[in-house]
Amino acid sequence: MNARGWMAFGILLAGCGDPTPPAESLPKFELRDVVEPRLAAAGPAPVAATPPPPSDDQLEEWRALLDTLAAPRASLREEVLADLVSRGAVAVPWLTQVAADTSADAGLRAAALEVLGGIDTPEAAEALVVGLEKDPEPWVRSNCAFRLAASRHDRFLPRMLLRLRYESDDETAVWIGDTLARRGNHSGIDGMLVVRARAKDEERVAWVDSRLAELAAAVGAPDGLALAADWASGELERRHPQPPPSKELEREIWSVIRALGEWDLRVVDDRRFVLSHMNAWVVTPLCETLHEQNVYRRLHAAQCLERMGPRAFAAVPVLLDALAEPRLAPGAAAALGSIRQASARPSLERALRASDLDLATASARALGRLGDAAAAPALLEAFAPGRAVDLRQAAAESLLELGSPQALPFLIERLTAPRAEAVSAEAALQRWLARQAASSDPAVAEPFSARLEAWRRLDDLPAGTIATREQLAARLEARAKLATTW
Amino acid sequence: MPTLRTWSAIAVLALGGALTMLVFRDPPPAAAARSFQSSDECAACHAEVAAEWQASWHSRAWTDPDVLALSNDFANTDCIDCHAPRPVFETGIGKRVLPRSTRRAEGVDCIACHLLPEGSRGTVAGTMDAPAAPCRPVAMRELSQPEFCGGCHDQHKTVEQWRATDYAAKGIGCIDCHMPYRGGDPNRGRDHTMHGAHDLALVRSAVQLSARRDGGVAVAAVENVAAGHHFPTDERSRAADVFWRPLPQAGGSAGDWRFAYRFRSPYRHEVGLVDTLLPAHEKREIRIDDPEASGPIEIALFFRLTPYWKDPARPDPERESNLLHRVELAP
Repeated sequence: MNARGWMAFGILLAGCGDPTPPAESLPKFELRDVVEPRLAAAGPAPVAATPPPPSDDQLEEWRALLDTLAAPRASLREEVLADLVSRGAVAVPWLTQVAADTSADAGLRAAALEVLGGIDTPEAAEALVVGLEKDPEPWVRSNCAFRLAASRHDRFLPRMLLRLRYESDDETAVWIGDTLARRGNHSGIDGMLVVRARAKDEERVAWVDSRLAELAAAVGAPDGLALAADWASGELERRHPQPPPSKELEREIWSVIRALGEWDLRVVDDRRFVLSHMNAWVVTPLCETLHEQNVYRRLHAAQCLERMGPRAFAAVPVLLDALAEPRLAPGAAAALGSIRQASARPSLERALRASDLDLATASARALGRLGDAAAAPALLEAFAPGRAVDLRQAAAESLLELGSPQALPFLIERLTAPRAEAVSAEAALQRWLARQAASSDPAVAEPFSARLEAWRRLDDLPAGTIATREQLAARLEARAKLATTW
Repeated sequence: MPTLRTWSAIAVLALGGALTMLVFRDPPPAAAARSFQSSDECAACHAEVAAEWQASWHSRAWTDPDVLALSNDFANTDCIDCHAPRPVFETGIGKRVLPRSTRRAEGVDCIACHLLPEGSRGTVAGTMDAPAAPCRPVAMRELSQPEFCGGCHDQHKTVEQWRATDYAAKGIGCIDCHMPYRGGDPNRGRDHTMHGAHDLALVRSAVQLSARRDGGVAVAAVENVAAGHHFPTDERSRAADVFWRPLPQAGGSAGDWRFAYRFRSPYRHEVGLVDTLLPAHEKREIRIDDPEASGPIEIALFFRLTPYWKDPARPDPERESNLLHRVELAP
């Protein structure tokens, strides 16, 4: 061979190596103070100047106008409304008082809410948000949600999102979803679909359908279901990117992120809910927070990205780097699995060989969620005898998720093995049965439907009953016995 | 020939030399550092403790069906933090625990409480230094302090509740009640069964029930006499209910149980419910303002680990709860 040949051979050899270093020798992931400097830079939240209290004459005039607005079929309604709105910030405290007065006439309260919606200062928006959060009357809360659609202010979005979690009135939940969608956030569409599904009267169904149809048409989706799917997949925000948040909303978001370090997990969980339901731009501050010195903030930021799922696709590069940070790595692996970008597969496969068993096990689980069947060989290697049993179980469950049943006997054995994650194995087996039963090939679907039916019959407790330890053990044993007949 | 004095001097010197060597001898070689992959490895030497722990609810923290149901099979991932925690010494005393991804079925195990971080003086935390022991324990007083338990148990404010009690002022902490010395003997170490809400005798001893009439109205009183924290505490699923029923008259049968009061801390989503936990040393009176309570009645305090009745409209405390105390009240 001549020199050129040797050079080509050398280049070929060089190209055969894995260009990415193994997990243990990834560059160190930098940790620093992130959140506090960001909040300091954002400055304090603006404090509205308290307007002077209205004079008696002003009050009398406003009251008269509001009475007119509240009257049914009032003439010159639009003019009266415009007049009251023109009073601006000065009238907001009084209007807020009227709207919140549970002893006042409902028409008057509704009129006050209408005017607040028109005034549209930050203080007026705040009054509507407080009404949405705290008023005991569902009709007031739904009115507040409706009015907020037209507000120019976005800093109350986190609080509206949190109401999605706690609102018990169906109509209000629909208006929250509707308002959020009109503001480019479609997190509430799922809730609207739930209200529709459980509605008992045709009128309610038709009303929710009309709202969903309008929102879907506005973004080119065929219907509410497609709209929800587009949102969850991130496709909607790719088609319709949202404007960047206002400075006020950015400050709010950093305050929410700061609370991820709180002791009380209820507080953390609420903040996590808000962040994971925000628009995709929140991925940027969350990715920054992955570098946060405070371990709780960075771990919970990773969980927020995990819960965003495919919408957080922009976080993949930072999450891949985060696999080098020992405390963060399992959470980063979980998030990568949930985001389901195929580009994460090689790094997760490498992490299966990490000396940190927590990372290896979390990566095994993540590969199942990622859903790329090409991960099967790496998972089989992780499943090999001699590997730690937790890693083997995680790999086995993921193999089943990817449609590879090689680890089936192992998982069946885990149903009754001492100190095993038996319920996790049980759930993985049930999901596999359900997928096979739903196969488009009748030769597969039929026998598996029968197996699934027999499997389900072994859980004969009435819905909502918690099994005792003995009942749980008996169920697992029975299912293990059934599974060995497959 | 050496004299007796010479032999005596040689003997004294030899004895002194031997004693010096004994006192200043090299310590036995320390055991090689090792890592522990499973708490099963501890059982080989610590059989009694391991058996106690095996019977405890710490060992079932991951596998208990109630936990699985209330956490939705740990779909509520925050539950993982306390039910399968990373070693407390690794996260930091008094800091919120962090979740682990492996050995989760071992629950709150030996490793979670005793394993020290790499680079520590020893491998595990114990009550004495024993460098020759395979697990290289070192004495760590933090093990006995409520702040140690607080990493998990203060999530529901139990340690915070304790701090406000007389017990805290007197230096009586969590392990004094929940991990007493075996047989009362400090030399026998602490019982790792960690009795708590699943031990009805313990729960019963925490509170007293009494009743009186106030102008004809029945008044039940529940007093937290011995819990070092609120009653109930910790998991929000726990509830203690006061029920009453008319007593049989002239050969009839007792009436149905009627609900009077619940002691519980509500879940976030239970909007409209308020926290009614009973602080330590406090007594709460519950007026039973019902005309049917004017005759002879029975009042009972029941305790349950999960708060939901099979039929909320017709709760059946005798079947669905555990009786703690009962009293009868004459007209």
